[in-house]
Amino acid sequence: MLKAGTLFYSIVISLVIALLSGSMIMLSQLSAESFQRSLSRQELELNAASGLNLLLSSQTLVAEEEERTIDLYKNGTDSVLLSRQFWGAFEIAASKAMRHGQESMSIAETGYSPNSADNYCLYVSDLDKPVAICGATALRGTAFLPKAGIKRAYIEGQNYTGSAMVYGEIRESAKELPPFNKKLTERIKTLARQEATAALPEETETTRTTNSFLSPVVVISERPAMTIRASYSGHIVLISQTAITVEAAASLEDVILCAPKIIIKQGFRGNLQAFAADSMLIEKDVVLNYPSVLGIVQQEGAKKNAALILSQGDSISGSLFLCNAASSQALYTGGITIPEKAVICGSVYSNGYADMRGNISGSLMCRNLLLHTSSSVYENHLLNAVIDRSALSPYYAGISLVEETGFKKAVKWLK
Amino acid sequence: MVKINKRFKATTILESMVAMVIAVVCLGIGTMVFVNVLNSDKDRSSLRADLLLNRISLQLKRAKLFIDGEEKAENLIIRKTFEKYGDTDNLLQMTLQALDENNKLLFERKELILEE
Repeated sequence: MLKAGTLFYSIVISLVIALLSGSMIMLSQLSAESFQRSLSRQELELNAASGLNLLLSSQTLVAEEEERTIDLYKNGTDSVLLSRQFWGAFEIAASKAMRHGQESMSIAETGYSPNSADNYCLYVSDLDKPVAICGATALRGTAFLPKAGIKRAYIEGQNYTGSAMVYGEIRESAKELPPFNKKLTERIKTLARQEATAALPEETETTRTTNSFLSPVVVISERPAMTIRASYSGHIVLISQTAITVEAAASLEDVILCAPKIIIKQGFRGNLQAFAADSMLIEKDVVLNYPSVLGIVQQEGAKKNAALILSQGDSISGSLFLCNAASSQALYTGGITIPEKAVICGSVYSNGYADMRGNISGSLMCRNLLLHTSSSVYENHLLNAVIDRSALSPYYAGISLVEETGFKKAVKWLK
Repeated sequence: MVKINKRFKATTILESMVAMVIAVVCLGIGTMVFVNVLNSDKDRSSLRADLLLNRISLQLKRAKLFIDGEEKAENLIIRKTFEKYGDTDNLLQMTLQALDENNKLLFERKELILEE
């Protein structure tokens, strides 16, 4: 028989049961909430990635330099804020997914992957002169050559040593070089005219200036020549009306340099886009990581020859171009110099000459070839030059030098 | 007739009533816990479906196999649909649905993918 104190025992046992049940309920509730939160987070990330894919597609919803919110699946729950803005020769595509105060962002630098029509190693316009090759020159891939064709030559005591003239298909080139991407030249000219939004900081080797691509662009513009020794990274444009010199100790990541004359000092390593109006000199042993761009866009009516000069031991991953002004007095006399032991992984365009003795894993398009030796200058000659289209990664994405064709691709994920 | 002289100890009716009320409250709480535990099992099957759909999505994108269809995986029915997105010509909307044996939707995953 139970004693009269049963009530006391039942209350104690019930309290214990209630506490246990309560904690189980809370645990279950918390785990359910956390599961829902992680699902919601995953959906946001998926929507942000989908938004970015939408910007990389052939869409017409978001125009260049535009920002727009769209409902991805038209169900009122998957809103994404999409934006496109130019970043030098590339474009920045940003996609921000939002829901119940939570947000997720995907941001990338975008370019173009070359389509099959651009799979050439060399394009030399037809100036009624054949291309002559000597030494250990190797052309791998489709070559667009003048009607006069390709022949062996003997220069500096070196005969052509290859077994075939071109390790690939030979096609006829046109009299005129395909014109340079007009949209790109306009963009670069506009970039050079940008107003300053910040002053150049007092530079020491420990100065670090960083600006996220989620923030508005910081433009540092100066009239006198600028020497860069400090560290700059992110959404920053450095403009000088005279010249920019980049010291080897400087650290540059994703920034844009813009000046009439740019010098990159020996031993510099970094990742940048540099646009000059007159000349660019890349000293010895400079390493520019992917995706870098070096470009010269000459102003209309320029009297000086434009020149993009690389040095021995340079290694550049990205695109190089030289665009002489059409109305320039110095039309077509400017060019790109790629000496021996200089390595380029990407594409090169010059609507003037190309003095090519280095190694290109990618393609070279130029009006004509010039070979400067200690004793003479030879036209349309290549000595010990290697141009290998097949050595370029199939995942390579760069800029469209001629016209914007091919697929848009994320070149680099940004923060 | 036998006379009972012994006194029996007993609970009062009030005590019994309070004890019963407490027992009922505890039972109620217990039932709620049980339901919650059952619900968390529902979350677990959703999580399982989500993980499965993530894996299938990766496989489809890697193999570039963008064909509508249905398949069975891990005791779930996976329904795959691909449709052109808007006016684009290289973007697909991929919808993956995980259904249980009673054709009840457990999880859905929508994504826009580039068709290169």
